[in-house]
Amino acid sequence: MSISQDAILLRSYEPIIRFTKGEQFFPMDVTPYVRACSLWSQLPDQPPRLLVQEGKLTLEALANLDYDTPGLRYFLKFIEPLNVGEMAVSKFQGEEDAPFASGPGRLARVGYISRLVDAIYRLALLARGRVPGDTAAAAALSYRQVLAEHTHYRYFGRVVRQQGWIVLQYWYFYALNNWRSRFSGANDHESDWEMVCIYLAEQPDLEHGAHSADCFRPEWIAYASHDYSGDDLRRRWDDPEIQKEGDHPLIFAGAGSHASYFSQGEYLTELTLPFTAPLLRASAAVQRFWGRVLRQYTGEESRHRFDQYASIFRIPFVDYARGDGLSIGPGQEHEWDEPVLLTPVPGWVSNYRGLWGLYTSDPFSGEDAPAGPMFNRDETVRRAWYDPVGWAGLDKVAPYVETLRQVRAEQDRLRLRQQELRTLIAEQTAALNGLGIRFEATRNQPHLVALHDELSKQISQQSTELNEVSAELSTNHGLLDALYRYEEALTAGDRGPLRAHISHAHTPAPPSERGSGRLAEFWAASSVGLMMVVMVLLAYFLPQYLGGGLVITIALFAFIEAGFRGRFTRLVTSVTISLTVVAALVLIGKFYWELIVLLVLIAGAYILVDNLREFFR
Amino acid sequence: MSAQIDKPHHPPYQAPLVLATGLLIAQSLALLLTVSFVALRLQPNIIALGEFSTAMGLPADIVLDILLFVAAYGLLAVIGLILAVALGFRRATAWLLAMMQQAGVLGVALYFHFALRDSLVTSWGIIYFIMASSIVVVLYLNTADLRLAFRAVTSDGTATRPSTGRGGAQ
Repeated sequence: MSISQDAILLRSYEPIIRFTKGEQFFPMDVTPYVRACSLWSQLPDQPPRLLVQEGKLTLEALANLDYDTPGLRYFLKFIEPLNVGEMAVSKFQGEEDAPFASGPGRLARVGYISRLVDAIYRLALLARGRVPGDTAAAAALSYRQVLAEHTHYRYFGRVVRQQGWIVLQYWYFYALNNWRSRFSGANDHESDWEMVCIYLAEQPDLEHGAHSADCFRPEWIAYASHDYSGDDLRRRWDDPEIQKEGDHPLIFAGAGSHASYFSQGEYLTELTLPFTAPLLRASAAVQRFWGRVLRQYTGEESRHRFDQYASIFRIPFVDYARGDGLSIGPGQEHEWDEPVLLTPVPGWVSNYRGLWGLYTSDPFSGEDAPAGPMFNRDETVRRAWYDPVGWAGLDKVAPYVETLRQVRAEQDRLRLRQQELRTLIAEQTAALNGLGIRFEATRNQPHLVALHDELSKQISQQSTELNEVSAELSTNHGLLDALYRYEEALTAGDRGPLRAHISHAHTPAPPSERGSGRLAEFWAASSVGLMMVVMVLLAYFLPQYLGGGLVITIALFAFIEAGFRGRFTRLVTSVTISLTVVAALVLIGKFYWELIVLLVLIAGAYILVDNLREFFR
Repeated sequence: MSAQIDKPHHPPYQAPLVLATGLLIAQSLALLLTVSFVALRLQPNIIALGEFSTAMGLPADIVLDILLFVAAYGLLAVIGLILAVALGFRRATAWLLAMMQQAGVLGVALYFHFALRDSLVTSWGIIYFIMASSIVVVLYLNTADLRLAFRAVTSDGTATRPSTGRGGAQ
């Protein structure tokens, strides 16, 4: 297909993005952004070096950088922090953007341990590299200036042909991700690249009984969301969860994070810190033992997800994808400008491996700017770029027409194999019969004992082989049956369950979880800090009662918390089971040998009774 | 043709309930016996706290520990018996209260183990048997079968008869 046909395809299915009220940054062209940036380089353990001043940088310059020095990292810098005067002016003028109402706080949605981990994360942010606090304000000002010069909303489009699919990639560039500073999210970083993929496949021209090369229709769509990949990202085009206006799917963008969601709502996203990974695995293993081996009740909602309890070690953040703000796309209040095609791949995409914003040296990389659409932060090529089909888990799924062809080919192959197996069975049966006859003939012949024994071994071996072949024949018969039924279903247009491929669908928090009251939220926001203050006061003024005081304080806080969140039963259960575990450990520690003796006695008694029962039967 | 005998239909939750009730009753009775045994060790004609120690020839704090043991477990045993009956009738809050009662039993036992190691009660080893019995009761109370038996209880505290799918009386 030609470039113009690629552009037509891209425009035919270009998504509509609905933002949350209060969002400050929208998809833009990279040219004015790059022009407003300065270019820097940095070697490990050395200060950054300015290469090109802001106002002088071009996309062509990015395409011609030198990568000969090992460890050298390039990055753009969009914003110099406002000086005090400019910041004062900006605050005096007030906010031009729509205000944002956060609604129920994220901390009110989770328990104490998650809040404690969040507190540690926040404290660690002071020591980690991070985007300075006034960057967001400066970026918003600069972005408004860019828009004032030329209001535009633009995306970058790419068409890839892979494994029978036509992949339409829509890349969106934002000047800033201000999820943390404006929406209490996980991170801020200069620049943000987001992407959506639509997978087209050839459709059979049923009317004319032939395949038309022009009949390409969407079969799947996948939204990039944070760093997730795989089956959970994609939905079938006919999934009711995909809202569409005509052929244009709706994306609900997270406020500040710009992550893409299928449904509007507030999404509880949990961040796993690297050092908690062993705790998560241990917690999940304990829960599996508790539920499966001890057959204890684990709760209806967690029956099939033993890792749900491990979420206490994750930090909660809310992604607000309400869709009540600006809307961009066909038929919306703002339309897309003509997209920039990434075919052929421009130099600033393929040759610039650096970051598109500030490099903060954050060890968790959360505050570092991303690299471009082609690269990860570590300069390796993104999977979404080199393998968009595999990125969404479609490498194991063939397009519909191709699936039908492969099913029929598989049937042919199996039928041939069945013929071979029947022939083989007939031959092996004849051979085995011959061996059986010789075996019987040599029975009770003293001078043929050796031959008799040898025949016995051969019969055993051949019998096993015949059994294996017969088993394969039987299995293939069942498989062939299943393939016939599958072909029938496909021909009738039945493509199977819509969501069978999804293991963890990311769904918005239900309204009932969101309304916990202002008092409850105040408690959630203040309880961890308050507990730390109480502990210090106890340690300073009443050190002799520190242990008991801590127990009473924690118990009191836990009961207040349970009252606010309506989880009194769960609290009681947790406390009782914790005491049970401690008591069990005390008993095991104190009576270790006695317990072993007792277990051996019980096992012996059981065996004795069982054997005697059998003896007297 | 032999006549079919209609066997009485037992709801699937009855066996777990009976076992839970039995366990709780057995534990409570054992606790009462233990408490009675310990209490009888105290002299009946003692009228002042200061004379307790004199009568038993023990330091006063040890006698206080025994009194704590008797009072706490006496009360918990009586509560346990009441809750056992409520469990048998599948009252809505019986399960939650039973768990709280077991938390009390374990809490007192652990307090004796960690904070009152020199106590006579601890040295006798009684609290470890109490711990073991409570572990068994808690683990059984928390089994899926028993938890599900209480899930059909309505908000006014009366139990509904869950459908067994076998067409019995509803």
